[in-house]
Amino acid sequence: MTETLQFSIDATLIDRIGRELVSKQQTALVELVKNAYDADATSVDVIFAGDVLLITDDGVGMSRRELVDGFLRLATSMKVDNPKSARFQRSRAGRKGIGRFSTQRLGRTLRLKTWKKDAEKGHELRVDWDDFKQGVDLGAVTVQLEEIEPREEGTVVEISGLRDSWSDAQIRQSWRGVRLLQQPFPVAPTDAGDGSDPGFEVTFYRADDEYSDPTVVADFETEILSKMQAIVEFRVDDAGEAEWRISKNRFGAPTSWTRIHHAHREDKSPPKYGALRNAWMKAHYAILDPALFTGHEYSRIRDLLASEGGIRLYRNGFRVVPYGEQDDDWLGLDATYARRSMLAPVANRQWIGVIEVHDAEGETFEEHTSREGLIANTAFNELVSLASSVLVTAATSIAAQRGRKTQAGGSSKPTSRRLSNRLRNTARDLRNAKDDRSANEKAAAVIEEVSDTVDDIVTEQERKYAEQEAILQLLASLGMITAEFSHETGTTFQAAGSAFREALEVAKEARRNDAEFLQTAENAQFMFDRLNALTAYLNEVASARSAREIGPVSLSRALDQFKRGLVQVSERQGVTLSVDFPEFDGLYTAPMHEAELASILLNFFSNSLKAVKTVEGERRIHASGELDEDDIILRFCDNGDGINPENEDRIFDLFFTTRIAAPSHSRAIDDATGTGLGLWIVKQIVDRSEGEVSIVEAPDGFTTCFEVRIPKEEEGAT
Amino acid sequence: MSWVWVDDKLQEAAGLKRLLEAAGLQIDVSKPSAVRERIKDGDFEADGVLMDIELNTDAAFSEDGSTMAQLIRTEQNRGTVAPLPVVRFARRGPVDEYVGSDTSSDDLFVWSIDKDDVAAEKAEGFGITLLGMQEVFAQVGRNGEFLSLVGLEEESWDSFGHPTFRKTYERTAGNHLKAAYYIRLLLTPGPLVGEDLLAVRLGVARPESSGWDALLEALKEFEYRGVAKAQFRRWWTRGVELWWEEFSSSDEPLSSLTIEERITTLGAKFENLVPLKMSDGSPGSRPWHHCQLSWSEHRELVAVDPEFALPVPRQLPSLDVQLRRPSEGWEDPLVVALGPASRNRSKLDVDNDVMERLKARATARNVA
Repeated sequence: MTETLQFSIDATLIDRIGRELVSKQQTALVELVKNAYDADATSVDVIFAGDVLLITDDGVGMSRRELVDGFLRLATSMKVDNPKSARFQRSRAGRKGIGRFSTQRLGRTLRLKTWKKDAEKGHELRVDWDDFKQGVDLGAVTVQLEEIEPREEGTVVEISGLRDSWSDAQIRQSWRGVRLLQQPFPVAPTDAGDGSDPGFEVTFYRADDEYSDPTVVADFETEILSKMQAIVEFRVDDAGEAEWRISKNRFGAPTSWTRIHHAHREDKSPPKYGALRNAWMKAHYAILDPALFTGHEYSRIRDLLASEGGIRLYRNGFRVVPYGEQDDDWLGLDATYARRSMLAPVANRQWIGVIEVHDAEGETFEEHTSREGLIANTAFNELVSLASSVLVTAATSIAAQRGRKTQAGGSSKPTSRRLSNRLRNTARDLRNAKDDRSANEKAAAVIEEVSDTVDDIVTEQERKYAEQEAILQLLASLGMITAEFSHETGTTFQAAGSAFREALEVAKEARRNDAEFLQTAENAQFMFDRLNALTAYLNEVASARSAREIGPVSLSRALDQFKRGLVQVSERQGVTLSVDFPEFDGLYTAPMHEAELASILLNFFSNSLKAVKTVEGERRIHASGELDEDDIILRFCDNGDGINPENEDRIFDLFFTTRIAAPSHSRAIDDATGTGLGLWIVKQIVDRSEGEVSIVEAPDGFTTCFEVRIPKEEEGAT
Repeated sequence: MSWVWVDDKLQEAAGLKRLLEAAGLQIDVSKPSAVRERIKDGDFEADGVLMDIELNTDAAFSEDGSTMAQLIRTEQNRGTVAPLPVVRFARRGPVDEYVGSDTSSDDLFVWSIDKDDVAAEKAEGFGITLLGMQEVFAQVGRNGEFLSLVGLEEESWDSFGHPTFRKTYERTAGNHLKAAYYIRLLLTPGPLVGEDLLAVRLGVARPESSGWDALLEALKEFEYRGVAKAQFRRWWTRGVELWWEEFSSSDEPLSSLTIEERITTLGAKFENLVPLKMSDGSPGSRPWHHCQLSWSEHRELVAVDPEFALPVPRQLPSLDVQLRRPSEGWEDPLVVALGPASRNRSKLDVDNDVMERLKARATARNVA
């Protein structure tokens, strides 16, 4: 006899599968949120209310058929058959068939209410997982499905009889598990495109019971974004006009929208972009300094930024990979910071940001056929340059304001005097109080308060000195590299020069009737001579002798050498460089390094060259030296675009610059300038020499004049 | 034979070698280790040696150029290397680093050239000087008789020359040392001067003066006609002064006249002579010397009036690549103009009081 039999399934299988597939409670919760993401939800609230967990979303909901054929049917192929979500074409995040087991893993009963758009009714599914007991056939266990009143689309998952307790830490861990699903925040105006994915926001709440007002435990805003110290934005309109601003800044005032073009760094009214259109960026910025966060915040934000920091790109609402992925440095921020051409922190781990581009017709940007990234066409290159330029400029500006803030608190001297006076007064009060207990209490409070203040000051000063030490170490090593470079390349440069000259002579002879070539050869010779003069000057400045020896230094000699080295460089840029110093007076300073005086001149010169670039007509730079009763005086003037009076007291601050930074992929010479270091270095040198540097009234024919006063050498020093 | 250029960077030497060879000399560039082997094997022959100072990229040679020059000198003393000029041929940086203020090795060389100058200036001039040195060494080796070297009769030498120079030359043992000493006569202003300094002493701005060649023609009798005359165009200083006495019909020596007076006197016979203009920082009107510092630092010929000159010792270490050794009585003093001296005090060993006195005088003169 042949019998046809069936496998029977014990109802406890559900429990066993659930536990094996989803062992951790946090994983189970994350899977349920992913289901909401797959349902094209834009907002999900996860609420812990006593013994109940509620997950509500505004997704597309489920029909009766979807509930029965999908949720209630094990091993359905629905997700495999539809790898993209229906509305926003999201790549499905949830794992196949895990959702139902997750609800079982989390609690004893499930009430799932769901509504489709414009449906006449919604549906509620009720499952009591305790019914899936050993010895009961799975097919014999029933669940209840009923129609409920309609409302707007969405789904509510209510799990009660929670099997685990939930700490805030576990809730945050779950939140971190779903964070990657989210576009961190909206950037472009919401009406900027139809059909685009508006993003996915998850908020975790805790309420004491189901009916009280819940408090936010974890969402992106409270966990991360509100702790970041600045927000930097740009926007490019449909005509290619770009603007940027710092809309939030913990270290200074926000800035308003300002026109920008990365290739016109000096231009106050830069042109529009040729190809780039309809792009927006919003980037949150953090300086990862423990002193700027609480302990928990710091480690949380540092870890998050380490793994997820960077600027992501969204095109028409869809994420474009690999831009902003870990290790993808598409804006060159890590490279810029690593080669230390940019000292303000600007690496990807400082940022969490989004760039959105809208290009509905697909005319501006083109995707690779592999759909991995965009083709580097003109628009894309402009986008990269604009973004990196804005981010570096903003980081520099913030660094300057941060340094300023440090200084704005004033020197620690008056503060320390004030504190020590308070302690002295307290000591006096204590002596007078004798056995007065309240006086003792009051004194103890003062001592504690002063101790806290001292701790704060010491921490801040340590941070400040650590930062300055790092910069000075960098500058020192750059100086050593320059000196070494100068030494090592000297012979090669000279050999190249003689070979070049000889080749040029032969070429000129061979083409002696070619007037155009002869002109080119003459230009080449002129340029080489200029390079030679500049190299000779830098070699002199970088020579071990001038860097090592300290003693009275002749300003007259420094000016003479300076002019010899840079007059041709100036001429090339249409600038007339002149110097003036007494014919027979060396103008000797109090002891300093010869290279320091040269450095002051070079930094002023670099600044002036930038300033005069906007001048139409004669561009002039003039440096002079003279002596008064106590000081050697250097004046450095130009007829450039001047210094905005509101910036006059800031220009010597570290990182202060009014220039737009060069894009990250620019030449080294471009990003070496405009870093806001030059005048700070001047100030450091002058301060160390116990001198002064200031802006003074410019003489006729000039717009800007710096004056440096350095004590003259003491009588008898020679 | 040819010159041997001892250098550790053969490829980089190629360009300069060709420039120098344009003057007609031949140069072989050799690594120091190879040259040392040849010297030790008694197999080293050359017209002269160009010696770099920093030689450390030759893995088989751990010394510097001064050490190699000393080896050559030792072998010349022993007679295993023939007399030949050894010229220091290095950039300023390595000379600063390897020689610095220690002047003791300078005597090993007959001349010092900054490689950067060769690249930047007319290399041919350097090559010609090297050929001249080669000629002097060869002639001294063949026939070191003094008067034939200087190309003068006894009587003329007595008028133009300097007895100390001859005495020292004739007392010096070893042709390599004799030749080196003789070359000082040709390189250092003293009994002989070059064309640039001659123009300064006559108060003429040479490049601008089309009548200069006619004046030189008149001085032909006092032009140097000794060994290597083709390479060293020089004039006997004392001869020119004697000519001036006769020409000006005056007892007033040339050096005591102002530029204006010199040009006015010359104008009686010579046309198209432009008066020399003193440079900023070099006061006075009776130029006689060149500023050594301006030449050393910038290769600029700055005329100096002795009234405002600051004499500096010939051993001064910081005059860069110039060789430093005690002054001889027959050599003109080394002087620096007041302006450059005031800006480069740390490089010079000048008396501050003297400098201040000169400044005051110059300022007073300017004001007047």
